[in-house]
Amino acid sequence: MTQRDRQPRYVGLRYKPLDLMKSCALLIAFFAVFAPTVVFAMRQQAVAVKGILLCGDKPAEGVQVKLWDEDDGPDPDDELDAMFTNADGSFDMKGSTRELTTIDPIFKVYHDCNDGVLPGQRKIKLRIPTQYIAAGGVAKKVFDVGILNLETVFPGEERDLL
Amino acid sequence: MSLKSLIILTIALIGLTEAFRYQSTAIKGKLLCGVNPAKNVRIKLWDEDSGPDPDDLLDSGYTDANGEFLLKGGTTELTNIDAIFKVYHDCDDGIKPGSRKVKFQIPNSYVFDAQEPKKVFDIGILNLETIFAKEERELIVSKRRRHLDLERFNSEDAESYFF
Repeated sequence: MTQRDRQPRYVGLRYKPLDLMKSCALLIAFFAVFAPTVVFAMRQQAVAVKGILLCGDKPAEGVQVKLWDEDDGPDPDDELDAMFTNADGSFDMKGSTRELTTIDPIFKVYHDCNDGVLPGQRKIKLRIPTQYIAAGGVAKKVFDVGILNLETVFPGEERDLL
Repeated sequence: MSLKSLIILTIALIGLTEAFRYQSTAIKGKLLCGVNPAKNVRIKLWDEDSGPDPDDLLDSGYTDANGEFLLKGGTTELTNIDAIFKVYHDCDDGIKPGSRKVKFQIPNSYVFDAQEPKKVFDIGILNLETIFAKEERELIVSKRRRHLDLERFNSEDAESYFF
């Protein structure tokens, strides 16, 4: 037998177990540091809106109002809050959602003021300016739309048939 | 043309002029910028006509120190007038040149076949921070010229050019 035969051949993995463990640990450490930054880029944003709705000179009671976040692209829109106006036509809504980009809060009204026997409802959409969006789960300022007369034909009015 | 045709034509034309009727409308309300009254905001009341007939300026003015206003006017038209209320404002507009322009339509129930409107349309209290649909920008907003008769200038383009 030669010298070579007496020495044991290296059988098994090319990489020694300890090296493999060290590499794994390094990889895990890398993700542990950087993964949270991706998650934190999705930020919680809150908005609130209030106001009073009239139909002519009478309060518009029981009118459906909604607060939505409209998203561009593949992300579906989120309904943040919805309610029916009180007996005096007043409403108060708030909500929050976690988004990557700044939310686009939209206030929507579905009503039958001055709508006679037409099927479906008149639909109004108003955008809330960005200074009313707060970081976190609670809105700091409430956006006051004012006192709106729903007889007004608002720009961009649509009809909602369902 | 025979006399008979002439008589028929004359009667038809008289009939047509009778179909033109004076219609008037009025709008009042209050404008805010956030919680503060929107003072001195340029506002106009127009009759928008479709087709060849140019639009008519029915009234124009500015909101007062409380942000309140009242506009009233009328015109003679064949068809129903489309009363449009326009607001030119700088609420939430920073140092950007020109003004934000918002338009609202007054419902037909507030347009009257009379010299004086029977009811004044109350648009309510609007917060001009609101971003309304189809907002535009107006770079030159005409100033009030008290010595000029506004009715002479019926098209909005003419106003922008001359003032």
